[in-house]
Amino acid sequence: MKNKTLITVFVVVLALALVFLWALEPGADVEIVDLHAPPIGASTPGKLDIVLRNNEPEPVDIWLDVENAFVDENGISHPTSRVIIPENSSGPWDVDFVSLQKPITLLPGNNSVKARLGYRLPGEYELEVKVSEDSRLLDSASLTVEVQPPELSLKLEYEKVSWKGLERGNDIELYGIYGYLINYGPSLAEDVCTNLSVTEERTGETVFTSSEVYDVGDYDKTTLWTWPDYPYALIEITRSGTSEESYMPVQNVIRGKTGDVFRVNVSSEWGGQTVSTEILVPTEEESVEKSEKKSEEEGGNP
Amino acid sequence: MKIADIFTRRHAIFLLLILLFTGFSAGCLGQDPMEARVDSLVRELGNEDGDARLVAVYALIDIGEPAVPSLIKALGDRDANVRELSAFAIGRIGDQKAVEALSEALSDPEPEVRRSSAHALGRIGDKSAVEALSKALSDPEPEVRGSSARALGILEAPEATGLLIPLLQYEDDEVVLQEVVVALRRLKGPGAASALLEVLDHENEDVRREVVISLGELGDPVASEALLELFDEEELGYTAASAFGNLRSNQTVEKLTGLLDSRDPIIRANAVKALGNTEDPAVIPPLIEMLEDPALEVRKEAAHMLGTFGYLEAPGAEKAVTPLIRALEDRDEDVRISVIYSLGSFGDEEAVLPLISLLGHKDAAVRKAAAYALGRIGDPRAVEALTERVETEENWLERRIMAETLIEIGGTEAVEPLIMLLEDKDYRIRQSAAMGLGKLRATEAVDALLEALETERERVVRQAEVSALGEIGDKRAAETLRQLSTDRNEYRHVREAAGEALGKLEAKGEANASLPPLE
Repeated sequence: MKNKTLITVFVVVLALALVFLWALEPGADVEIVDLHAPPIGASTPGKLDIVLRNNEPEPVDIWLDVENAFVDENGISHPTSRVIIPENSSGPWDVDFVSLQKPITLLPGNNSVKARLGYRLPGEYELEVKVSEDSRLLDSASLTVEVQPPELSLKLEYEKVSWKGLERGNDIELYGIYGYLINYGPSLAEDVCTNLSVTEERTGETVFTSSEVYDVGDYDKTTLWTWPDYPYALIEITRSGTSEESYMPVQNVIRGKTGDVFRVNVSSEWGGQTVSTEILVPTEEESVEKSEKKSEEEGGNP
Repeated sequence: MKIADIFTRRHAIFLLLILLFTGFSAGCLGQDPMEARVDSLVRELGNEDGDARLVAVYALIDIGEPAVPSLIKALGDRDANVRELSAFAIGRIGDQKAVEALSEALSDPEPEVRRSSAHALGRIGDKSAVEALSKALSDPEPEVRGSSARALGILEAPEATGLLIPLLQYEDDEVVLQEVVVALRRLKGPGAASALLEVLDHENEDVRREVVISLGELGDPVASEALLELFDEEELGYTAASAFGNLRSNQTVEKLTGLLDSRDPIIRANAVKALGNTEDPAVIPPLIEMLEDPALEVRKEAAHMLGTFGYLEAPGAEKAVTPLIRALEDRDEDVRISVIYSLGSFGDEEAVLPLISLLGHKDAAVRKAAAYALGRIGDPRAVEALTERVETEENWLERRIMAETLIEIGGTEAVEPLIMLLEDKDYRIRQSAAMGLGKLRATEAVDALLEALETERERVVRQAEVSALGEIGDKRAAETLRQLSTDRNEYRHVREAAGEALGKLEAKGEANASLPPLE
């Protein structure tokens, strides 16, 4: 019985030793010497610079795996499918797009490889790069990539405008409101909910509200108006406070009477980030000036 | 001691399992990783999920030549999807090693596999597949026959012509027949034109059209009479006229000129087209005569064809200018428009004043054609009239056409009106004006462009203004461009354009600095 057990144990150890001997055999001398990812934003293409050093005297074929290179909005990770190997040239297009379905040949010395990255949402992502040769892991390294969120800001401005076909002389004054949603951050902000709210300054009554959704790219700005050459909102000031003008295609039209001052507030919300800004239209000075003029015209005292 | 005494049955089973595990592990570790990856992808070709199959097939194509042995093996897989996609992948990789296996796959029980194999053989382009593809021309499935015919055409094997010609008579599927006709056109083999003439009266219009196009491309004079007979057909006559011009016959012009006297206006119009297609300057005088034809379609075609001679600057083409100017008075508007476009092709100053007068025509198509022609001629006398049109016209598209004509004419005369258009009420006109000023490198527009940038709100216009400053390359713009290129509150495209413009400006400055100072 003892013999039988000994022989069985011997055969098992021998078999396992054969398997692991192969696995423990040293592979080519290749190492990851640098990993670097320039700042990247959500929904914008990024890249990972990898420097691999081949310490062997001859070229070595290796397999490269970049894990967590692409992460979708559900947090599901997808590997990068291609890497870019720059050629020895200064031309930006002299690159070789290499499929990761095939081994990459590393020349002796340092080899630069760029992998594509993409993240749908801001956050921290742990990248892992593995270099292997015939199933033997030669080296691995990891890098935390921080995907910055968009940095939103709003800007409003106004000016007196004229309107084609509007011929009512001094009886009507039009102010065009122009707004911009600015993104100082590296990430695209999609579906930014933006609300317009207009209150009459003296009474504090909200006279107009509207809501719209905008997209703004990384380090970019977007106009809040829908039609080029037309303002985001129009404030019409008349003696009576009403008019029949439709001002199409402008959707946000606020009507007031001489002496009215409106507080125009616009706010945007994206991913828990809220920004707002506001202006007075017309300014108190402009409004007083206008009221005085009106009283003079009517023969009364200001 | 017997072995049975040492090992019990339980020990024997345990040892066997260990040996199997060892063998399996060694096999896995020892397998070429590329081979393992290819095998795994080939297995995915049979995945129930269509997207997964697609990803696998393109990954295999990506791998290329190393995947071919496994793909060839997969042509014998039990799953028809795997076989079909393997053939597809081999075709995209284009490895000649697979020709024999693909040729055998033309006998696969599944028509999709046969079709995919035929298609792949065409892509690989190895002539050793001709025999197998020829057999597949009698496949029961039309799609396989069509793919095989197409592949034979691509292979350009001369012997394929003789195999395809009989199909013209007995192929009953119209789509396959079209493939056969196209293949014969590619092969350009002897006897193809005569054989194609036999199906010229086919009941299917698409087949007939392919035949006519093929007869033109084959260029065999044997087709001349048959093509001429088609000139009276409303649908096919025009294609026949185009094809006829390609025939290599000394009698082409003579025969066509004879048709100009036909009583049928469709025949005359097609004869005019065919004459124009010959590009023989000898046909210019008869074409000029046809500007007086009673049928408007003939006059229109004559005007159009004379324009092509103007464009080609054919010797003697200038003789057509005066008759064409006269034809501006034609009673039919379509003819007049054709005449206007033709005059633009000649670039003759004589046409400028008559064309300017048409800028005020009541019909927008005439006005646009006149602007186009004036732009081609490029005479500065048109600037004033064009500027007036941009200012008075309501339609923005027409206004932009006029503005772009101004740019095409160019010169100092066009710059001032373009500067004025930087203040236009329509952003598309402002954008065109800015782009034009850049294109013309109008130094005198720098101040106006800088001023416009102070108030302009539309991104595309700002971008055009900034780019224009870069094109002009005047150092007065440097400071503004520098500010814009770093302004975080600016549109990104504008910021980038400013950076590029600044680069151009600096490069120009450096280039100038390297020049010796003027004496």
